Amino acid sequence: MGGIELREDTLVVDRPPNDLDELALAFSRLLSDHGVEHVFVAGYVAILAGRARATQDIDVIVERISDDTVQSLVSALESAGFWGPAMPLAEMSTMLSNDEPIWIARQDEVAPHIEVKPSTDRFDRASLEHRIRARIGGEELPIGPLELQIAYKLSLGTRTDFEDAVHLFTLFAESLSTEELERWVRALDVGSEYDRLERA
Amino acid sequence: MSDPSTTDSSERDSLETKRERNRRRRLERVKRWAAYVESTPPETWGPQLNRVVDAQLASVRASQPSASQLERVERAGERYRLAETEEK
Repeated sequence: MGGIELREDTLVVDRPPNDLDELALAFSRLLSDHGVEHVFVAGYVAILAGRARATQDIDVIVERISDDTVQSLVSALESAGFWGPAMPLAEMSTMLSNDEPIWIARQDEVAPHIEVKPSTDRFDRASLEHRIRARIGGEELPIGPLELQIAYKLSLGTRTDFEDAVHLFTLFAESLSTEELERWVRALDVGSEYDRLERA
Repeated sequence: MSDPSTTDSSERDSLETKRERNRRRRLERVKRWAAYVESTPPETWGPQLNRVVDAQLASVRASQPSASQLERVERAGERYRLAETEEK
């Protein structure tokens, strides 16, 4: 029963991939082909882990990428049928070096899209550094550690974010590291939100 | 229709109570779904989750202007701005 399990550093998701998963997997393959370290975070991780809600965007944090790699990645993206719905992919290098996100979607689509964000703070870096694997449809994706995802969701503070945190906290209660979770709760200063989560 | 004898603060209290009740119900639904995922085979809950995700994306695709339509609007706007600049 279940079909979602956290085994050491791998989240095993035993359901067929949906549209969001297919987009994330295709984009992750291209990043990996170019040796770009990346990690999927936020709402998409909650949905991947079984939360039944809709979203139009998938957040992915990337390490600093050299201009040459970005150019090569942009060519590969265009060849694979991707485009930039908010601005041309040719702007990717400028956007990322200005610490701004860029949207990537399948040609002629606006949703769903990937929001590529450069790593800009210690939480982004921690997501990259401590990423775990998610396995779905026979492929793998790097995702942020669930303890940090929950604490970060609490820090965002919207109703949807809190509900994502409740989903992850409820589903993985037995396998999460309480010590890690509380460390991120302290780092993000979300003690009262964590109390609410425990009482929910 | 609200009771004319109620004060503003009692209306606010009533709204607040309603919001809190809705919030609790939403959280109960989230927890109930998580328990369902835990106790049910993925062949049962997986297609349901995928329908929620895929149906919303299909609806967005059907309702939003296509990328090429957006580009045409953008190009028209650019032509309009250029014409205005030339007139000045």
